[in-house]
Amino acid sequence: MPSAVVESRSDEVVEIRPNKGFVSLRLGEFWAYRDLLREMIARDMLARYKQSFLGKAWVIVQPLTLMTLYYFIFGVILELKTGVVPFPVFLLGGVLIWQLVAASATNISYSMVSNAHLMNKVYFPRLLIPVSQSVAAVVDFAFGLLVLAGFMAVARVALPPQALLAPLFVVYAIVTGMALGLWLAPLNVKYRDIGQAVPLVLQVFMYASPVFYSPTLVPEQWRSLYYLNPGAGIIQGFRWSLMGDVPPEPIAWVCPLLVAALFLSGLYFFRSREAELVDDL
Amino acid sequence: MTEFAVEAENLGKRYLLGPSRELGGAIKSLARRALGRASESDARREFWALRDVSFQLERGEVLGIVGRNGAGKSTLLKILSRVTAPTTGVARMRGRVGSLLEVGSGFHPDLSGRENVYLNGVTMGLTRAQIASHFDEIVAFAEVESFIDTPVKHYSSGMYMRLAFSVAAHLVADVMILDEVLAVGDASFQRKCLGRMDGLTSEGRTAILVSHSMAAIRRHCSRAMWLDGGEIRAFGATEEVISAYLDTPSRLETSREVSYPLRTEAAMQVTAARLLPGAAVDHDLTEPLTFEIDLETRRPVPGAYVGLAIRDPSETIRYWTADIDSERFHNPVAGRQRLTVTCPPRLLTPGRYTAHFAVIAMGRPEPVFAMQERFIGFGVEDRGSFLASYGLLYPGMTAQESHWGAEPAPGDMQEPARTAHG
Repeated sequence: MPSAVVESRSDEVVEIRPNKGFVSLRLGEFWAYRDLLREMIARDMLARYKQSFLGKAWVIVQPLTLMTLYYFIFGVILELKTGVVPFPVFLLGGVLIWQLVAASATNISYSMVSNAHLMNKVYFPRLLIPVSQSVAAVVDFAFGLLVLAGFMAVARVALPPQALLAPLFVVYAIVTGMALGLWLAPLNVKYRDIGQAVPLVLQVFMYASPVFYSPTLVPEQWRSLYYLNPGAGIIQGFRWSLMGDVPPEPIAWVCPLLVAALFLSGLYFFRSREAELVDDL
Repeated sequence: MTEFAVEAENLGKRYLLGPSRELGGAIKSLARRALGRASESDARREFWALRDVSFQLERGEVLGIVGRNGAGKSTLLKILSRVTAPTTGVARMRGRVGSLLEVGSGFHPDLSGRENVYLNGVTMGLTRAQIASHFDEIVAFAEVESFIDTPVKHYSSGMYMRLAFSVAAHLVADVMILDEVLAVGDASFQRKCLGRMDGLTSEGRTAILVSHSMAAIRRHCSRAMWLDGGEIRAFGATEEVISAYLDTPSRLETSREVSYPLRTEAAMQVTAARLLPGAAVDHDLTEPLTFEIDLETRRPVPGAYVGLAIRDPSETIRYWTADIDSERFHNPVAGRQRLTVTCPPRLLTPGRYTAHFAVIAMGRPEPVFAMQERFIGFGVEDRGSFLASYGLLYPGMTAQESHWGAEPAPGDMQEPARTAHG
């Protein structure tokens, strides 16, 4: 028998009640579970690349492949023009920031089902799962950013002064991905066809965003409407700040408000569903 | 008055057995309801897994919960460990709650033993620092030192269980919730579990323990609760509750189907079983004993076998068999299957018996362990043996025939050899 066991005595009374009415976000509880959050992130990152031939290199293989593919289709075959920024740099910037949104939205939507075995057996704030998925997407993004820096150096793309604003667009992308994921994850537990729809919807969303074409190619009279898509503002804002491409239209600044509303309502939606999620898993 | 450790008031849990999981169906049914044209299929069937459960435990008490599958035991533990929310009522838990609803449930097969110890430990509520300071001890207890950096999917099932249990053994909270954790593993592993439980109870911890083993409940619990159909049927001194529970096998039917939602986490589960030919009369001991078992397989698990145990009223296993070496065992497939098992005649002597079914796979990192305890009951009668023709009851544990021989003793040459059955 273990000679010493981990001790913990407390007199705090926890009340367990039906999940009704207004729910508190209980963000304070997050702090108590910080170790679990860290282990979850580590698990997701470690398990993903274990036993794969390229290992951690996958983080950059995917965006580089997409960049090359898009370059041949849109640059060489269709001869799209991008203006000031060299096309490969333009593409890699778009692919990276888009993947940050899409990967966290997709992974969060599936994360409840893939963590069912854990959720069925132990209590922890369920919000840890979406957060860990989001962090994993950010880590991937950070590796991609290093490659982008290399490409920018080779192509002699200088950082413009507004590069100081680039982190804002990264945060904007993270929040957008989480907002989508927080709504989709509980819905995917209840209705499994949400899981089928997610990749399709994201693909539509991607074509409607300037991942591999310049928003200046969108006809003038449609451009305001075009920028109501948060994806357009995120991608073009990121490119504008980091590589001095054309800035997003002013109307794009409405979207962060919409995304913030979606994110906050998503948080409450998720919290109001979390206690009963396992009943449908 | 001593202060309570656990207090439950009118706890209830309702499950909705829904018509469909498809979004389209849900939208249609919403639309129909909005138009005031709700159809029969829209009405979701309600199922109360737990109803009006109230009880109080003082600090240092160990409560054992008994009851058949589907009685609500696991639902109650899930609510108390906050895995799911109750539909009605309130529960109060004083201090830190540690729940162990399945040994090794948080293990990730691709991660090493070391990584899993940390992951599993923090999942159960330990901090990284606490695990780090006990790490060597956890590994030594599990006897897996040389494999600690190997992914656990390469572990033997014994190593896997030892490591999982070792982490759990270091988790000591103010209130411990344990679901059937004492029932897995080999004999030495179970001894370790029991030893750990003894340690817990002697330290004066509060614990709630669900077990199908009456011996374990008797050994550890000061009080017991019998759950039946989601409600408390008896609550009080362990011995009284257990005898009340055990005294009811005669109520069991010879055929039964589960009427409650299946455990969704179970890869395989016995959903129905019946004694053939399902006659109203008791089984004749000279006939073969045939059971029909419906098995639902969500995910085929290699090495998972279906076991049948027949117990007498004192809970002694009188016969045990498993479908190892069957066609199903070698080629498990998803879906529903009907298994038939024919046990030899003259296995049991007259009396009342219960049949217990389980799906077990121990040769895997995650053991499948789905139990259907006291699932059906039946009586055995003697209508055909020679003892019956004299109106005598078969004594002993089994009615197997033997071969009796007789031949002239050496040196005696009077009569030729004769043999007889009896």
